[in-house]
Amino acid sequence: MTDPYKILGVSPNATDDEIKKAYRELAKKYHPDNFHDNPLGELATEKMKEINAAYDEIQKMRASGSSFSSGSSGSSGGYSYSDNSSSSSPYVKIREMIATGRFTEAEILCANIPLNNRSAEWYYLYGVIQKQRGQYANAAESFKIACQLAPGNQEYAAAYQSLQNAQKKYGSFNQSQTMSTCSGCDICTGLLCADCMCECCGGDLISCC
Amino acid sequence: MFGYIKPAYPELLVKQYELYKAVYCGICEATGRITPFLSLALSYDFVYLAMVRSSLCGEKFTFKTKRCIAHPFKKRKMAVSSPSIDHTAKAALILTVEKLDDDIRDCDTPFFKKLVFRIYRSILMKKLKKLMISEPCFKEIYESSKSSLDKLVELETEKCDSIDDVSAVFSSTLKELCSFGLEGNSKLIAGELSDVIGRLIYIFDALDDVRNDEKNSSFNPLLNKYGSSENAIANMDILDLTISMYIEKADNISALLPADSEVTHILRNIASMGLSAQSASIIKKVTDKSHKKSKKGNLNDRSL
Repeated sequence: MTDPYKILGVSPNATDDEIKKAYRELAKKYHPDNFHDNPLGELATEKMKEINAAYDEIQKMRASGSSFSSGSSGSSGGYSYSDNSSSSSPYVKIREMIATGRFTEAEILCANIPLNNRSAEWYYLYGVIQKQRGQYANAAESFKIACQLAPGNQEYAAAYQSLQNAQKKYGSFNQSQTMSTCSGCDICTGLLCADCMCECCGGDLISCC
Repeated sequence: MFGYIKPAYPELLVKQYELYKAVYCGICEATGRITPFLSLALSYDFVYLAMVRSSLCGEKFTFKTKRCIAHPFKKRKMAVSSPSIDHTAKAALILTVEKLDDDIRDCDTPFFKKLVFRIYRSILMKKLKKLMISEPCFKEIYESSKSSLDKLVELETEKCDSIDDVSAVFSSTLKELCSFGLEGNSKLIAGELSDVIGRLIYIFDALDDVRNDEKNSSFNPLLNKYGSSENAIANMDILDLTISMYIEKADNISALLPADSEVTHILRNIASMGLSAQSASIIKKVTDKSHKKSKKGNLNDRSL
């Protein structure tokens, strides 16, 4: 796999904003809309996929602090992690495997840790693996448990938050359910207020009060 | 197939809406040519399948107006049969047989219903055998659909509680049918997209049926995970999150579809709006029922 930074044309030291900007510009350029009835259309989609993959990979690399290759498409919210100092030995190994893209092995390692030894970090790492493999119910569940077990941990919170970005956009709970209802009481209060205001200005809306 | 995959109609242009209806009629006609009985099993999900394939193959639909059994008095605009429509009709045959097999195997289906299913299946099976002889590649797909049914049985017996695992098996036949005969990137896109859509269909169905399955003590991974339908509904936020993630993936993949056709607009409408509207309505339906039930329970308590 070629260097994802090269594909986006940025230096590896570029900030998250710079990378996002470069990605957006390239995405506009290669967008299939620009290639109506053009034999280059397919090439453009190819390129588009390439930059998508590169962008995703950089996001993931920055998230886990190293590099690996992946084949899935889909964008993730940008967030950066601080180095985790509280990791114990098996988790270091699992993290390494996740970072190098060996998800199957990482999953086996995870499964080998007995149920009563599973800490918040286990759930977090398991969630990362499951998300990568497209098993979203497992991923959501694991991140939630990780956040419950270690409420203060920013890394876990950020991971769970990145899932909730999808829910904000497509979820049914957060869709605007602010249907305002107007009861008889509301109407009376409104009329009384209007009357008061009218009286302030010297007029009258309801003559009896 | 269950008809969960629908566009958000208000957001469609009128011409897109007409195209959508015309493709539906076209598929209905094509299935009718295989056997009129198959048209009974048709749902909107198949329109999605046909549209994904036509979008990826760069195929343009052409139209004719015709009367049909369902609309005998008014001529309807329908899509002239094309490779993607014909393929979808064949896919409908395989998927319907698979579904009937699943229903017949299910011991909770009442005897009379089972008998009807068996007769129905034998009619379809005759046509499927004919198809498999004329096009042997469908034989492979049918074989793998049978093996995925076996896998489902396996997951059922071990009381699998991961809806991810079950839905992955469920969507495998659809995935194979959708990416069949395509190559390169198109195959990749068709495979990934139909995988997500298949999973969503399964999750929607599991959620929709969670009460009935509890009553009939049928297999449902949600019940295995949460114990009861009440508990599953109490954990609705995490289910909503899961569904949203799958929808996001579908939307992201849809952006890679070739962008120069009306069909792609419809497909993107489905991924970006139709699916979340569908999930919202199912979740509302399931949770509302539980509210009603608990209210009813309170009333009963009071009267006691």
